[in-house]
Amino acid sequence: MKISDIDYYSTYGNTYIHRLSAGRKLLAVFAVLILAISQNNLYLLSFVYFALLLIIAISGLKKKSIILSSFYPFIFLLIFFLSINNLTLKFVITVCLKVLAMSTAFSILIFTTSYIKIFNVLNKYMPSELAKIFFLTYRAFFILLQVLEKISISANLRGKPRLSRPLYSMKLIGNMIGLFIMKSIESNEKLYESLSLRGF
Amino acid sequence: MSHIHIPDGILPLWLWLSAYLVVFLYVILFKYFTSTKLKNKKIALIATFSAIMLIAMSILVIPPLYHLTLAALSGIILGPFYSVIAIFVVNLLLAFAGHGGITVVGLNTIVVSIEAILAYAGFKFLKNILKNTFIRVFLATLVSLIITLIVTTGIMYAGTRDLSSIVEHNHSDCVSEECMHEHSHEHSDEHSYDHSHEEPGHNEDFDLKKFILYVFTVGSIGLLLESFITAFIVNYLCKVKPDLFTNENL
Repeated sequence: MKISDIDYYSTYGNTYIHRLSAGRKLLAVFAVLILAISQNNLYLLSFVYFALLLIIAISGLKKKSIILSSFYPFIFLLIFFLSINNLTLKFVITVCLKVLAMSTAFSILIFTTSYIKIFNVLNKYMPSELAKIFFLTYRAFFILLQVLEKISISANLRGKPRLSRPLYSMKLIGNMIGLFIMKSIESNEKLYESLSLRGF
Repeated sequence: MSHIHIPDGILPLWLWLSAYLVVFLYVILFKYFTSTKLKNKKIALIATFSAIMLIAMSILVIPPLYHLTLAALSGIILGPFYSVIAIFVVNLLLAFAGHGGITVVGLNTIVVSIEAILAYAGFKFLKNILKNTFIRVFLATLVSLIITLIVTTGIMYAGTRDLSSIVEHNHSDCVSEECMHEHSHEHSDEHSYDHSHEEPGHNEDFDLKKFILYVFTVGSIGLLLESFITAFIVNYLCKVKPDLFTNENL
């Protein structure tokens, strides 16, 4: 699922968990994080993971999307597991449960809370400059995605990148990203100017 | 490839907490050393590059293992001081989407910042030696990526030296044959003392050689790809928008 789709669902979703305050949800995620880091007990980790699955099942959230996105970190676990000698089943299950508990908690959070609400809570604990960067990055991300989409369509019309022509393809991608960066700077300068007019 | 994709709960507390501390100190420095007059314009530019990196890192070039980071590009354009904050923002936002753990955000910020800083330093250093912008950026990016990959491997090694602390061992099921073989020896032994204390080979052991083999095999393609693409981008921007590379712009 694309970040833009997740953002749309988190903003316009209407389940009980969507209506909970962002502060409470962040606190719950933090509790799961502490538990996953500090606890090695297989039963406790299983209990936490199944409790999170139960929340997904009964809350009316997009079950498939949340569970699929919680499995995303497994891609990165693969190299880690392949690099370990004397791998035991217990080790694999414990690590997987720790990862699943964390990623499921985060998936529930991002599927039910918009980034703006998360930043609003975090703003209380971070410098204002950093908060501004977070806010502008978030605003720019969705604008720039549309810009990139338009540039990719025009680039594809002129000649798609091909594996048979690697150097040409890399030049094409490089020029495309170069143009994208120029447009990004222009659009964010406009955004900055409009925000300045509103007293930002 | 240059940043750590490891999920939460694996790396030890001392490692990721100290990395967070370093980043925290940097954020304090950022707050006090940014001039008030130009602050907002710089902030807009930093946010633009954060968004660009975020988009680059969300698109897998070689699924599911490789994506561009464009950190070297950010380092070259934003400079070492401002690129670090952009990298921190990107890593935190990616961690919320499950791309790398939330505990490794500090470590990833340090690792990717090293890439950006080295690329900037290389780009400036080669200015008087090489006139060709493309080759200059290519070399600066490639060297920065290789050094960053070595740093990442070092961090992984430091963080996974004591994997036994992740699980409570009671000589349970083994996945690998090597482990089963070792455990069968253990059970045939008639001694009554606990072997786990005397034979460290029975615990999970992070194999650095294997990890280097995997990372550098996939990484070598990624290193070349990132270096070439960064060089093409800078080459294009130098022709079309050369003022982007002057300090006045920042």
